[in-house]
Amino acid sequence: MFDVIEGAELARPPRDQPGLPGPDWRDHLTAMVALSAGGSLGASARYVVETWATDRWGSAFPWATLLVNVLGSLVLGFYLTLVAERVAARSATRLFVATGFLGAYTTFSTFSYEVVQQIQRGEPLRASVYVAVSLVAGLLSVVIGIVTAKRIARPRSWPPLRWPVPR
Amino acid sequence: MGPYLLIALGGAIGANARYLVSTWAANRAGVEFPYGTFLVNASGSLLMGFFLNLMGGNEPGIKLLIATGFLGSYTTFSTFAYETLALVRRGAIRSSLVHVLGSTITGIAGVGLGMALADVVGRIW
Repeated sequence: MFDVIEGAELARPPRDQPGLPGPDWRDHLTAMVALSAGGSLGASARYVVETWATDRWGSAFPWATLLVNVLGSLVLGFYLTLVAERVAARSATRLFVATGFLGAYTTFSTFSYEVVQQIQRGEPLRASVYVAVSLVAGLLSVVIGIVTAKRIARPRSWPPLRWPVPR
Repeated sequence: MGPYLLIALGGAIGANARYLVSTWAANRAGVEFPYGTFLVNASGSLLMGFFLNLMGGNEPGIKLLIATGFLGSYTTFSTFAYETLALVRRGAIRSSLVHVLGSTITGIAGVGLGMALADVVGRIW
């Protein structure tokens, strides 16, 4: 599960395997609804947090985008690990939470745009610090999310959980 | 309510577009490397530079719809970070470095290129 690459679940679809039916229009509709709901909530949540953070810390340094990206990465690491270790989430739920909400909540285009703005303003040092801190904190927060989820899913005293649970 | 309607609409379309590009890329180029996320972040950054430079300080509503909603949601940082670690974990260290540094460089260069294109378009218009 840690190997998840976005879109992999529909890569090499079952049409190559004659025995399995391919995704039909209902699967596509379910995916669209999950992604739309997650995406609209995620983008709105980003706007709320960014407005709040900009009011609080000003816009001299893009703290708002940094906060959103680090938080979102932390939760994504946590959620995808928890799904893999403990909860057998339906793929629609995963599309809603991970691809839809967290994917929309965090943003790469605003991050790149802010870097270019800082360079244009004649602050290349500040831009480099922003890039370095975003990358290091983003990757580190995924790791923290994963480790936390593993602790919760499998405390040391518990045997590893098999799914489905044997009776 | 006004801003949220525009952001939610853009965000919904952006998430669907990202998923479409990701599945298309995974089908076409395989899942050894997160081509989809790479492509989405590069193209979204280019469009962001183009659009914001073209708009200037006008049209706050369209900016919320396209920049904050659509492009903010179309591109993603969390999946980018997660997939980088997935590559590290798999032992594909070189691919993970290509993903991190490549995405950052193409993202920044994409914004610059988008801005330059907007300048050209603005002059012709």
